[in-house]
Amino acid sequence: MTDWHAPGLSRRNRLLRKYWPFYLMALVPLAQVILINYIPIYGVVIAFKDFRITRGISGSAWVGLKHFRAVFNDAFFYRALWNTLRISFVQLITHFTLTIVFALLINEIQHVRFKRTVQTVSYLPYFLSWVVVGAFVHQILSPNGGALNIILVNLGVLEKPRYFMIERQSFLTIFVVANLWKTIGYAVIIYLAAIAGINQELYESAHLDGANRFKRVLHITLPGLAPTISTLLILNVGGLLSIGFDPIFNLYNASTEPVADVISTYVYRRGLIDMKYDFTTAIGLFQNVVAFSLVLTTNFLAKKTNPDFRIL
Amino acid sequence: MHLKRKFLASPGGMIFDVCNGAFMILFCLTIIFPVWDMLVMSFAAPRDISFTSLNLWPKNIVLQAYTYCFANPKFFTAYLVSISRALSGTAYHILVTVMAAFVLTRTEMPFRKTLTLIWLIPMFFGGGLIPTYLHFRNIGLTNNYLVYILPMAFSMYTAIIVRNFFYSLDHALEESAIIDGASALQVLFHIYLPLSKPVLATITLWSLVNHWNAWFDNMIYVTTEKLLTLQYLLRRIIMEAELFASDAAAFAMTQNTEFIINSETIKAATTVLIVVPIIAVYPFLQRYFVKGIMIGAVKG
Repeated sequence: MTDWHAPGLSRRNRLLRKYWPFYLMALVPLAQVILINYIPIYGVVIAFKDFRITRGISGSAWVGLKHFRAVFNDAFFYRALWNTLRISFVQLITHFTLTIVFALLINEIQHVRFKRTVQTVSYLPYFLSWVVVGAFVHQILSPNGGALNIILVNLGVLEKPRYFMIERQSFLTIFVVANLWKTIGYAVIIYLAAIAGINQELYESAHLDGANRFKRVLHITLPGLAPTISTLLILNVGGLLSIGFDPIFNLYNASTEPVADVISTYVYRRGLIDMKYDFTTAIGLFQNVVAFSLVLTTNFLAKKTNPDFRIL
Repeated sequence: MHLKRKFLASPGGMIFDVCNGAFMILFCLTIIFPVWDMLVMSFAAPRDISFTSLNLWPKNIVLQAYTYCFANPKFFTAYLVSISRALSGTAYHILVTVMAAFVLTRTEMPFRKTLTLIWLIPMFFGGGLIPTYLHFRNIGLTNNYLVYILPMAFSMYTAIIVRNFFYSLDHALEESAIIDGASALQVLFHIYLPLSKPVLATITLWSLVNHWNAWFDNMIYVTTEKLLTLQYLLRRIIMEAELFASDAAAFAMTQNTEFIINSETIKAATTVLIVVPIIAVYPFLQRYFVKGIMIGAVKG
């Protein structure tokens, strides 16, 4: 019995001894996380070094902010940055407005079975990879036997098939629509769950007061959804710079690259293919820092608008 | 919701319902059609594919694309690799996640907050593409089967979902088991896990789908054909088809003309073979997906 220690310490020792099986259990996920996630973080110093593979990280010379200066002088980086911001912004606005409208429409379906079927069908694309969705998009938009061209030509809208996938002006639309197609079902689940949380008596009393369905949606459902919407919006803004590698990579090509190349695809090409490791690590670090501060700020704001919402 | 039926009376409402219903059917068609289109393409003979009218049914059902796929050793390997990584990756993922979640439920345990923080930070901050790639190369994870398993094994987001579920269970059972002298492992496996079937189903589904859909790790960490995954194989086929489509002269000169002419249908067949397993299990598993989202995303 350790009577000369402070009472708190002996309690702590007792607890440590009691919990030892749990510490053991925690070792596997802990080792896992250290090996896979934490050790690479050290590699971030490559952004400040003139990295040579043969010399390794420690053998390479320090060059301070040279790479950051190179990044901010790089036209392709600015092109990627501009594309990222542009695409993210359009994507965010369309995604939010359309998913909310769609959720409201689904919510208005009276027939329960039909409603459930539509929902189930709607989130099937979420389970498909972007490689597969990319394959679908390529197929549908193909100038040789793709459904869209066939329909448009037969309707007289087009004279002859267009090769949409290589058109720079079409890329943004294709991206946004494909992304919407893939993710709308998932978003709707969240909104419908939030709608289910709205007090049903509000609808009854509104009906008694003479409000028609449209008015009820406008004045009860939408305000009821407001906390969820604002929280999701704020959280999504946090991911602004990190617009998915997956969708862009599977939808872009040499022809649309000038308008489609985003930071993540640029880093991939310059880093892994051109092997400019130090340069792209600098971009990655920049991206990380911005994303991290955005996430912190937006999480903070999200908690302020809706104290109930927790992501942690 | 029988309450709503009372509100149906107005004629404007009925018109809206009809339009809404039509719109929803159209929407469902946009989801079903691409899949159906691929299916038709995969069973069609290349020369039968019409460029001017919708191919809603193959003119002649032909198994050419599928026999090519199944005869192709790469395809066979890819299928095996994808299935095996989905199974073993998911098993390991569940093990690691459940252990972490269980440890996190011990509110009285010293250093619990530290552990939580250690597990939480990687969700927001990481080494980035290049440092991670270099590190994996250094520790021999490249061209190694484990590169498919380890990186996806632990996610704090999932661990928190499981932890929250554990919190919601009744602790009386656990207390009486401990009084009876049960060890930590026994409590976990004999009490918590049997009661956690819903959340386990959810994370199993998520993990299976993520592994099945993974292709990026194949692309950057693996160069050997022995570890080819289905998705990456499909991606390569698509790239090759694009390459050939844009350069008809090179096209005609290569020896592999058979393959090239058929590559559209092979692309379709490969896509179908990737999508079919998902669609097959989807009706049974989708409600776990929904539950998982509800537990994780919205409180209350």
